[in-house]
Amino acid sequence: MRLTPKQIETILSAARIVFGQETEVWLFGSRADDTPRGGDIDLLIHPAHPADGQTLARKIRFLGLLERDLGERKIDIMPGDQRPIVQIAHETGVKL
Amino acid sequence: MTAPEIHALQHAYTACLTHEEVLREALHDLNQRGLTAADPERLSKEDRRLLDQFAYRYTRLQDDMGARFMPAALRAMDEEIAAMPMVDRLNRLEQLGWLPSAEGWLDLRRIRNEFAHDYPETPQERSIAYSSRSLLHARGWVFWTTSPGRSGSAFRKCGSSQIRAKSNGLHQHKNVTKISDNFR
Repeated sequence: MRLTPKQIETILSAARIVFGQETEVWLFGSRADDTPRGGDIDLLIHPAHPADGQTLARKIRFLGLLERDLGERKIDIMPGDQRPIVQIAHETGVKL
Repeated sequence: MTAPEIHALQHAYTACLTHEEVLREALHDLNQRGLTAADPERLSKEDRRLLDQFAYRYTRLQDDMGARFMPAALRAMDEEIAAMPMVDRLNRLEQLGWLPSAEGWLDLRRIRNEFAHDYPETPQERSIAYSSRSLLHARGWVFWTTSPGRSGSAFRKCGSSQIRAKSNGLHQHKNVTKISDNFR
């Protein structure tokens, strides 16, 4: 995994502020393995609270917090649901 | 300001006005059809067209304001922007009183990025359009607003009375409120 401990802490802290204390975050995509390639950060979020129509607002807020601390870079956030790609993210990803 | 710079500002302004108009129409029609976040599964062909129109024009307005209109406006105010990264330009515009909030603009840009999402389309992602509506309403402003006084002085500098006249029509806070009210 190619995130520093500080970056991981930033991501988890922001996710818990925005989505709730019990929120789980997976890192997948190119940053989850150790090959030095790619600058994107792909995150899978399992929010603590059920969807309340505020998903987009929360996602935007989360991105804002991350960009402030991690700088401007491509961050993709995927909400956890039943799609096959979510399963793939779990299988290939790393829980933060 | 040079003649090409004046034209650039004028063209960018006209383009953004068109995007705004079509975006507003799409939002109005979506509102009329009473679509809510619960409906994404049952989209008709017309609903899909409206959502596509909304997404396209929202994206274009964001992009053209950020890449064309804002730089041209800053140049019109004699700001040296060649080496200025986007965030600095936004902060400068906020300082000058042109943007209510640089961070607010970044939020609107993040919404724009949502429409270009990499992952496969889902009912959830289609519902982004509905959420965007309510988010835009919550923000209270969709478009770049500024006081008529400031826009007047900036456009006087570029010597285009045509733009000044149009700008006073667009950049009234009450127009923005009216737009938001429609999408409650």
